[in-house]
Amino acid sequence: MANYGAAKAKLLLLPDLKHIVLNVGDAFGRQFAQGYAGHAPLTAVWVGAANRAGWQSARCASQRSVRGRWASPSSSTQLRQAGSRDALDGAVQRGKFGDRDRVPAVAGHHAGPGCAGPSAMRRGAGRMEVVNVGAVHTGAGTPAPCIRARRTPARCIRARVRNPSPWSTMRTPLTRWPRCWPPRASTVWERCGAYSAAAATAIRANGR
Amino acid sequence: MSTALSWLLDGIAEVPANGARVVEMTLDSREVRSGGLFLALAGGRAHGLKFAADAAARGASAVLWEPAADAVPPALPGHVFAAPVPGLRFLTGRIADRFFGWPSSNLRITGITGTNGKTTCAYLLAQCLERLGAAAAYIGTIGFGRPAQLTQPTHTTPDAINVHRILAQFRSSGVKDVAMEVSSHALDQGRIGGVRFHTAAFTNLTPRSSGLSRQHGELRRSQGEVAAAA
Repeated sequence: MANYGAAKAKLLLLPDLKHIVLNVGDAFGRQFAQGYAGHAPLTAVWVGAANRAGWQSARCASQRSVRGRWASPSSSTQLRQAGSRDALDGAVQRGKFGDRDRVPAVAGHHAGPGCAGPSAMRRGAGRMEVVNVGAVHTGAGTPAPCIRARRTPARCIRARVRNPSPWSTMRTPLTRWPRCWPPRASTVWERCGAYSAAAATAIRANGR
Repeated sequence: MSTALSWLLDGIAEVPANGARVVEMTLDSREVRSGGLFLALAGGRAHGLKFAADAAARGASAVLWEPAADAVPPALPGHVFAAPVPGLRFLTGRIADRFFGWPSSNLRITGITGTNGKTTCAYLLAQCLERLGAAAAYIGTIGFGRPAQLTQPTHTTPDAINVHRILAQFRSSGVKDVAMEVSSHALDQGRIGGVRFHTAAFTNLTPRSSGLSRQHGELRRSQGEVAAAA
């Protein structure tokens, strides 16, 4: 399995990448994010319930960089403004996100400046954005209305890829969300849509 | 389009300064045209050198081959330049990149890898980018081209020459963004050599039900390479 992963990692280790989008809901993605020492900014996407386990996973991926940034007062302020690791932990501890899969909506967007690894941190080159996508609470896997209606999957995420960022709608109340993003078990379309939208954001944000 | 062989193989192979040019390059001897460059790689079933004579008969002006234990240099006509190139499999992409005029440097290419979801992610990404107003294209299992006009493929990731050929077509048709599936086989076989990726995306990693043991064996070498790169 490690060798299989190493083959996949070849793409992520190409020297001139401008951005990397990782699924930190996956063990290999988390492991890679933690060990990454390159300079390309990382967008860590996590699709699933906004529960303690999910936040822990995302925090796990960004822990090292966040911890390193706390040494600087200005960085500390930035982190607080963006929603720091501690703030996320606090929210979990207060039960804001509920427990297990009974979470009604996408819970947050951690966009703190951070680094992907020690060497990137020293150079100040890397940064990491952790994004949670996925409104999950039934576990039943009910097909999304847009899929039932046989519309093109891209229409599902259209509302999420408006300028400047598809994630800007993440704090929108649930009732105002597009019909195709109801709170329910995330489908493969949603997951893939999330990765794709994250990549689209990265491409636009890091255009040449 | 023709390219000087000496320029094309600069730093890769010693080429006599006789002004030889190539008009096409291919890994398949059946596709060789007059003035073409045939690259003979060691394959799973046979070495491409076995077909070098056929390529020469079809008009190849140059033949490069990958040295291997069972590779016997062919007897080719005198006007055909032939040379062994160690590691040719992994240099093919670079040669193709030169031949097609560095197409990936004019495109923003996103490579998507992982066990599951590559096709969906790449196709959705191409659609996303199109809806954002970018001229986007897709390369992967279900074809290549603009999302609404896909051409049927032969592999998830085409061979190194065809990757650059397709990218050159995209460039000439005004495409700016490309979403590309990158399989582990493609990575291991150097099929994305010479491609300048803008963004890399990883979906997930799960054991595949078939052939995983075999893949482990084949990919053992990859681990060392990645560790060295890291």
